[in-house]
Amino acid sequence: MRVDSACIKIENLKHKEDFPFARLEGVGPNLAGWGVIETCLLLPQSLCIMAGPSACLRHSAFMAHARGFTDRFYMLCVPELDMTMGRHLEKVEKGIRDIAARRQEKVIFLIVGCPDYILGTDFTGVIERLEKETGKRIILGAMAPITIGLKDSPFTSAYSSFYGFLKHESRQPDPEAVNILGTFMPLSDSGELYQVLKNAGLTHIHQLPLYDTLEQFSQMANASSSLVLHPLANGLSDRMEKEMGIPATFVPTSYGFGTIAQQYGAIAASLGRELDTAPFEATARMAAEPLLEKLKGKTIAVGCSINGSPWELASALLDFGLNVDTIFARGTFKPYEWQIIERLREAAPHTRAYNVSHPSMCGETAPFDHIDVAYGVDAGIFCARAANVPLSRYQEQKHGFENTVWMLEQTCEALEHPVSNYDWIYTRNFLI
Amino acid sequence: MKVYHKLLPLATGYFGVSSALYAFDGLVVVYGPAGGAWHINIEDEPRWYRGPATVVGAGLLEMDVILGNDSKFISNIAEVSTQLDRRFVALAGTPISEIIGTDLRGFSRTLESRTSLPVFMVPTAGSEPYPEGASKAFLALARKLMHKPERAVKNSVNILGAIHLSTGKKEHMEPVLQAIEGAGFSLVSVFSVPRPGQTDPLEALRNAPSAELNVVVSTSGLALADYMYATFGIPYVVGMPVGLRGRDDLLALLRREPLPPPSAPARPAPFKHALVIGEPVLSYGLKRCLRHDFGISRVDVVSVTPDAALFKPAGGRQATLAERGAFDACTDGEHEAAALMNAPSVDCIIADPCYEALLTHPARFIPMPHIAMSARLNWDLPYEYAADKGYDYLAERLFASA
Repeated sequence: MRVDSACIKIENLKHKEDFPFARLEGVGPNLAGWGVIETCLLLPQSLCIMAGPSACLRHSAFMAHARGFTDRFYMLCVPELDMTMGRHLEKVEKGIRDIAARRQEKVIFLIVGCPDYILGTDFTGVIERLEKETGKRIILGAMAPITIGLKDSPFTSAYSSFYGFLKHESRQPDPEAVNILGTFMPLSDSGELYQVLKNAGLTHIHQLPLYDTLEQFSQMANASSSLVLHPLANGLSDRMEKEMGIPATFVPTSYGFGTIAQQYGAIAASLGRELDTAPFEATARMAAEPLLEKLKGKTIAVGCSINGSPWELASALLDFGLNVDTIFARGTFKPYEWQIIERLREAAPHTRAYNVSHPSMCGETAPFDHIDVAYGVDAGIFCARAANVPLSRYQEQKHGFENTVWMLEQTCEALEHPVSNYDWIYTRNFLI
Repeated sequence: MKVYHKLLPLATGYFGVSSALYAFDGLVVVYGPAGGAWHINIEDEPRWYRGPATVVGAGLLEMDVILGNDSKFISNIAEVSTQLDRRFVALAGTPISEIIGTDLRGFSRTLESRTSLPVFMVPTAGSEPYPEGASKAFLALARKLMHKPERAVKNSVNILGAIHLSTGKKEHMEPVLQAIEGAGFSLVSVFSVPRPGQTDPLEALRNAPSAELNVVVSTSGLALADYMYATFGIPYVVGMPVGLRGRDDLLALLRREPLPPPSAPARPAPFKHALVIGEPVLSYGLKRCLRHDFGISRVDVVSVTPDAALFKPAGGRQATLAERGAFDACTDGEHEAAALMNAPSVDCIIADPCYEALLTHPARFIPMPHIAMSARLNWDLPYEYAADKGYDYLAERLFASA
């Protein structure tokens, strides 16, 4: 089968180099979430202006339209020739000045693309002049996929740049304050993590997506600890830890009860407080039981466009005694995922992992016709006969044991009232 | 420098290459960093969904740009194109290949000798209008695959320029194709809509030089029409037959008859000043329909891609179903479009739904998706423009209660 060239059995996956290499970018549906624009605009009172060739801008414009960011997003089209000759700097400067004059926002992200990155265009003078004239902070960022794998991703860099708004804050450490970093949809204050933290006396819980002003955001400088729910925020939390003394605990969105219990243990150790999570775990286990019954005997595939790690979800489902047949993944592994893959090698050595970016995968659905449930819209493309459960970060953000129950409820809902993969992608915009 | 806020920048050169070649079972390699091909497929090429590998990215990284690594990429492209059994390989340039001066023509020669497939490059960069990319792609394909026919097929035509970025889903072109076939003409090929029963989509392309006439339905087909006239002596007409009058006029041109004289509009509409924004050939077709079928006295066109070639005299051109007026404009600027749309006298606008965000005064807005603007956002929207179906669609919206 053609897809075999994009496949590896988990038992043979020991190093990054083992994973099937895509010689050309086969356009797997695998880059969902966290565009650079939406990351920048998480910062309150900010605007994003992107400058570059129309082709590059068009890509980002779709995301802005799909997520409703058009009001805070502008594009300056610059031809390649102008960029090569360095003639675009004056035009970009004027463009930003004009936009800044009619907007109230205090921060402007200037995002450039691969061409400026490769040409090494120096925006220092432009930014200095603009900051002086407009009184606004101008932050330079790059949406440059040409740097993939070599440097922090553009999204991580954008998120890390928020540090600039915290570092000068005079800290008044608040032992009852904790930051939650790495959420796009905010966690609900009636949700499990909030309850657990509040019960432990942490009454000031800061989340970036909830803030309307930079002043509110600056409260994050006072927190006693940060919880990082997505690797995107590791750069920011590292700097806050090293330079401001705010310790961070990496507790990525997970689905396995064992993993979640361990994460609560890590949070408790970091905060130096007891966390009473037992009632939440007991309630979740009770709620999960009948839902898991409905999944017994189903053949499952897990994709990489879910909120969280596909390896961790696969591991969680296996722990529940379910049949995980296939994992769709990228060749970019997070360091913490290797430990999970090691466990999978023991628990399910014959599970197959496919590189969704491999050109041999395009249009291939027949090899996956036996899959009953596909997690992630990327898995749903290949598993045409499966109930598709997006678990998208744009649906809901949950954390802790309740996240597992939510995942199982979503699965049962998809089995009972399926929504087509096409609709998840093209109507609900869950692929970008 | 163009500034966009509420609109999207239009699709550019290598999007046009993809659109022109997508249906021919080739491999289009977007020679740039990761992400370029991804976005074309996810956003601009809804045909990508569960389809074979057609538009792929080279996935250039920083070190590739510094070191070149040309031989690595040539090997990668050769391996993938043969593994996937594609019928040809097209290399499309991007801003990065343009800036670093990648020799894609040299790549093509090497790849052709290694793969035995037809391989060609299309010189695109990243800022040129998409019809330019599509035109170059059609020309490259024609130069590779078209040969002088033994004889012409009587009463036969090709349709040129029916690329999805301009004409949308292939279903939207069906009324035109049916009208032509219904009038006794045979369709040799449609660029780029596969005809039913074609197992090799390149077969129709190879046979295209045997047609007696070409019908150009978007500016993306003009360069190919000129080439086919210069090389094979095939004359052409230009126009999108929108509505009843458009349909009748096109069929008259095919029969080599004079156009019927002006007649009373089929159904006068209650508007005085309409504005049509979009691809030039379709927009001028809409203008003719609004004037002749619905009696709207003033209809202005805003062509969002270059329209000069549409009005330039050319050797093989027999007729053009487009009349330029004093107030027609050619611009893809957001600010300019907003100013024209909000002129006090404008009471009806036909444009891609994205433009509605620019409208600040009351006017009838009739959605006419331009895929090069809104792509998948409006791909599934119900709309029509061609022949009778186009007339029905416009009539329903022109006479709907406000």
